[in-house]
Amino acid sequence: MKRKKYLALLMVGVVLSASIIGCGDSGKQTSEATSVSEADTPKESETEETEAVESEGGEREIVNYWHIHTNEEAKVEDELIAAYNASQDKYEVVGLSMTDQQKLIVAMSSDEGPDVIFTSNSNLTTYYFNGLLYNLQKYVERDQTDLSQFMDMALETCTFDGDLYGLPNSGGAAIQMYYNKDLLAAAGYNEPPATMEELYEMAEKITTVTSNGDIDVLGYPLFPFASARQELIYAFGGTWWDEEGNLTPQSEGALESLNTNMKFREQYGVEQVQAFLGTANTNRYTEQDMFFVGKQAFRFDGTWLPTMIEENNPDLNYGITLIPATEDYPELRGVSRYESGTMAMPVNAANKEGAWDFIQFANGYEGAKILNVGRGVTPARYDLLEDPEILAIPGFDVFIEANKLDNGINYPKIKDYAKYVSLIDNALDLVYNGYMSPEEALADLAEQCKGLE
Amino acid sequence: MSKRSDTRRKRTKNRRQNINGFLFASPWIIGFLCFSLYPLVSSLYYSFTSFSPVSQPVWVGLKNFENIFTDSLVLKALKNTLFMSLVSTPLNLLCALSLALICAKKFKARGIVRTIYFLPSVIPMIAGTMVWIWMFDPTYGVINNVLSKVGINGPSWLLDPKTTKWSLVMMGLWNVGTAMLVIMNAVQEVSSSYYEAAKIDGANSVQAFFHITIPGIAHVIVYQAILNLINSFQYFQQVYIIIRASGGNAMGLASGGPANSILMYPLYIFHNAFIYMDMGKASAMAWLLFIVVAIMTVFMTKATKKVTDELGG
Repeated sequence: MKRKKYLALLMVGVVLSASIIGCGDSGKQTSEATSVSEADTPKESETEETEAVESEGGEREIVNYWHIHTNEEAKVEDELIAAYNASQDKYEVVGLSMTDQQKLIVAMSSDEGPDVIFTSNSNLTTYYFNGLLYNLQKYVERDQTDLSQFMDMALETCTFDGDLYGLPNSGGAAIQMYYNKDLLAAAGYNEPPATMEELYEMAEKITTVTSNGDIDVLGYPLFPFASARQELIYAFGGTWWDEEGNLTPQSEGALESLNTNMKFREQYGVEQVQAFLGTANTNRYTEQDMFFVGKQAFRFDGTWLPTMIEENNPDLNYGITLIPATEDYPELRGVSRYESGTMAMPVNAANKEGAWDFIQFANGYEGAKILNVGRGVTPARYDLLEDPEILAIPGFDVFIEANKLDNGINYPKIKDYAKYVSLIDNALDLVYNGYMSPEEALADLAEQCKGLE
Repeated sequence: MSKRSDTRRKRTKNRRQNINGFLFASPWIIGFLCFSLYPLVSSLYYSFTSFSPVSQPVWVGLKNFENIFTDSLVLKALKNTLFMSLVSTPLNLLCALSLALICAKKFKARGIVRTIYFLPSVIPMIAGTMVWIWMFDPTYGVINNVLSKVGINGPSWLLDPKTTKWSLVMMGLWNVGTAMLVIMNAVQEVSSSYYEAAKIDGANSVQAFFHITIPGIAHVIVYQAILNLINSFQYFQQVYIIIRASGGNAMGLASGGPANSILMYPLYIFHNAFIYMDMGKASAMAWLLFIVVAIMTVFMTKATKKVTDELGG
């Protein structure tokens, strides 16, 4: 009987200990962290204030870096980390591939999070408005960081209320037009279209259907969906927001784009087009990708596509050119969403000095080059635009030309951005499936947007 | 005197046994308090606050609940979830019952048949959903290929708002193995003497099914119905995977599928918590869901108790 009691007491002790260890914090008050206060000035050495962790050798301070890349791209991050660690002996960066955004958010809001994160400019806005980012402006001013080599638009994506909350290591008009040369040649065209009107004319000639009425080759660039909802709208002069961040759900250009879109769909059958797009979506970026197998004539896609084409169908005869604009808006040639890859510091970073040191390296000439060349993304620095290794990446001449045209459209810095795009997607789905006309859907969207911040 | 000391000894023994029993149960109790009750009570508090990842919760009273009732997407999510509950639950039960009746019979290869029907239940949900996404492909998917052989032009299952939920219902029917096993065991426990007596009285198999089998397994069917109903209100994984897998579908992360046709209530809670970072509203939505499910469960239990009592379950 006594043995049973002791056993029971032992089990209680084990469970209690496990609960206390699991639930306990390391002494940091995370719930009190709201925004960075003016008094929170970074010092020359913060080792006496931060809880910087030493590495096992006891010499270097650990800096935890979480990025979003996997497979081959993760190897590029490893190369960057190795280069940084070899360049100095004060800090040691430890990298982790963290693709789960929810886990990242939970970690950033606790004291178990990273010191540096890699994220896109669209996520950066969300993190900023939720108080998850540390203001880097004071570090920049303290260290007199040379920002002159960063492109203005790239810096703009990391700036909120006049202060920098990250540094960009890649940036640009992320999407341009890929086209299948063989399909164009078969339809009698030697050059890609220079205007959206020409593109539509070519699309009609190139699109073929089977005896069942199913679409065999799609001429109009309705896929990927994200491009159809952004670049295909922008090319007609449409916008979803203006430069001040005001929502513009009923722009004339958006309406014109959607009407053209529906004209094409109705010509070949709304259901048939949706069936083709459904298959295209299922096989996106695989061996059976519709563009890779020659079933898609035009494709608005990103800098990463040549690498994927090389892996899946190196014999594909394709070209890259600027996204056309309409005859009414020729100045919009090459228009695209502006995307940047940014490194930022969570507000609860344990080693802020180490984090800042790594951010500066990773976004300097050497670090940014490793990332840009390795991942095939356009640089955010002027001094990298003439680098021969950068220019040698397939298609970069077109993307760099697009950057120089300065037609990138930045994401709006509004609190309810995620909600707004969700409403846009919903409205466009209703249009594409024929449930609402473009006019009705955009009017409905405008109504639903009232009250968004 | 000896009687008193006997009683005292008995009480001491009982007390000791109670203490030992409590001590043995205490690991679970501690776990429940720390990892279930505490988060539950915390979320109730947070549902009355404005709360984001790094800010202190600020008391806002009923504002989150008011917000829920004026949010059109909440209504949409509820409608979608109710569709799954009211359509998927009875269909799943019917399918499980049919398979259970087949597997309860004695025939050759019965074991293999049971295994085949149960196998989908042990396949990881993510892997299974990815396979279904391929099967639903409008052009190359096996479902539309089979339909085309009989002259039917299959729809874009996961792209057309009209068919997305029915796709989920089909996926659910594939996964009734566990319910099938439970019902099958209940069927096998119905005494064969009832069937023999019924046969002597001239009852055919259909009459025997409705008057003997169904009353005999009514309690299990009710239990499965309640379980399925509760599960249908927590429908999350499959829609999350389908939406993420078609990542090119949307500009943003808070997608509910084509025209929000598969925006389920738990998924919308998730969007509010981790994409819009409105933890207060997400907590309020979760508590509302708890209340709705609790009411439905009580109602169902009371309504079906009468039926099972009458049927002699």
